[in-house]
Amino acid sequence: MLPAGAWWSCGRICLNPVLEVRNLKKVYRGGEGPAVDNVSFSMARGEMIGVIGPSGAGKSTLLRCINRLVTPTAGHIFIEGEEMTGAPAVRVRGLRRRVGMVFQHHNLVARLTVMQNVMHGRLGYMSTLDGILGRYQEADKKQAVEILTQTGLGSFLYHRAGELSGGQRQRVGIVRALMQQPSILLCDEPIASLDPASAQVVMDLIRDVCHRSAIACIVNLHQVDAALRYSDRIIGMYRGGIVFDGPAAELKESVIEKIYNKPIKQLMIGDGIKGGIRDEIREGMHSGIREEPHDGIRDGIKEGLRDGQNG
Amino acid sequence: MGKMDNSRIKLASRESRRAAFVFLTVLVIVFVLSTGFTGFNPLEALLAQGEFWNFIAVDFIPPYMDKWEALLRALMQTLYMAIASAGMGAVLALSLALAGTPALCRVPGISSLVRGFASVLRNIPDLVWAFILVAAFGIGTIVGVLALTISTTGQLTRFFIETLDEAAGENMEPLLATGASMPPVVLQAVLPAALPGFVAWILYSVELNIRSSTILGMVGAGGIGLLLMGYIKQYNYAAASTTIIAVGVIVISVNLLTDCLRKIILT
Repeated sequence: MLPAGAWWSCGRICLNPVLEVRNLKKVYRGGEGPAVDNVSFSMARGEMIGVIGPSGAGKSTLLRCINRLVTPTAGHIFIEGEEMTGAPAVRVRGLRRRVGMVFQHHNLVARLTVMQNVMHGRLGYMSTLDGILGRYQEADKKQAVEILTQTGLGSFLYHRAGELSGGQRQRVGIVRALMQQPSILLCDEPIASLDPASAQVVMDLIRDVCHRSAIACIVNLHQVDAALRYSDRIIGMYRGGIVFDGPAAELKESVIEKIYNKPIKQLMIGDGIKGGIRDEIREGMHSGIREEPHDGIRDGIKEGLRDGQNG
Repeated sequence: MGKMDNSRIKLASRESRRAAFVFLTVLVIVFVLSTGFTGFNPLEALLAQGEFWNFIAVDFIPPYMDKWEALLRALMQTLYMAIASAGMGAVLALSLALAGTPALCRVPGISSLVRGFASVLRNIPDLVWAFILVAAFGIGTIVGVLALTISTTGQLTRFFIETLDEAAGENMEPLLATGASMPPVVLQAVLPAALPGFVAWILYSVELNIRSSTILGMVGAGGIGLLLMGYIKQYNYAAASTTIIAVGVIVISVNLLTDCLRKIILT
């Protein structure tokens, strides 16, 4: 069964979008020109968007405008229909709870245990006093243990985050974001500092939470091949603007050249892409890739989240 | 060959080499002039060594002490002074630093105010604080503890602000992104991340305070310095040398202890 909201049916126009960005613009003080310029798109529940573009194209700024870690200069952002832009601080905090974020350097507190780091995802739901004292709900802790176990981190609950490998840390970062029970997950270069094996585990996990739990994911990536392999839809950015927005299968070489402003021969983006990988992906859309995974972890996460919502 | 010399390849630009040369020249001139103005003569210092060693050998050696109890009491006083003032300084500095870190406290102007205040506390030497406080409180350990607390607060505030700033940089964004408000973010992420840094700085100020309190004692702030000054004034150099050795032992053992603690805490 596919999740409600149907990720596959969403093109540029969505009914009931989980996220809507309208004419977004961000100009940094002292910056050369706008970092993000007139960006508009919307996305459905459970949709996975890969954002590609050269360094400085505005990918990170775009993500940080969505949860208002960066205040946009102009434009509108709606999260499940509620306007984020211009909202007072208290409302912003309320909306941020629904938007999880995963960072390139996972940004865990290295000295704290995996459990302590993961529980930070609940702070947005707690009173200030409970937050200060770290009085987390037992039900939340139980859910954290469940999700960690399902993501293969069950034996690391009391390890310090600093002792884990890069891939494990990134998974902890994702679980922390999942503890928010978000509708949207923003991933800023989640695999940029990981080896290929860890990168695949992390990208698999992100795609699974996206499709299984119907969380809309926006993933900034430098790896065009990973973006093509994992995304339902690609957004290509160049100098703050969107130059491509469409299904992965439609990302032609000429478009990639436009996004990176370089001939394809000067881009290290995996030979497969230059050759026939898009054909594979096109086939995958119809057959292999979106099949129900057999992995216990994946189903487990879905159940874990559902249990958490009920409990 | 000559041709090759002409085309020697330089590793830095002509401007930066000239700037380095000018800087070094000025430095040497300032150093030579300053030494000249003090009237310090290296030869004289070498020639006068005989007298110095004579004084050490005849008056200081052998060390002798008959009042071990007084010595021990004074040593413990110094130790207590150092630890108490480091502790109180740390508490005061933490409150100041939380207000003075721009990333944590966004009230404009507060940061510069706190930094300025800490800088005043820090830049007036603790010896001067002790002089002022002796006038107010009389001779005794209270003066030592107060003077050291003041200077420790000044120093630690500055170090704590740097530590907090660094910890906030990495750890605040992800927690703010969960929708948490500032106080839980500081308590749950920034402070735990900053803790090893805090402990290292506090241990450092304990070390510093033990050394300072010896000198502060000489102006009446109690502890081992007061005892030492007494012996010197009585020309009891044998007892003074014992006291100096005792200070050395204490300083070295506290350093060894704090090094050990630092290793345990930081790993």
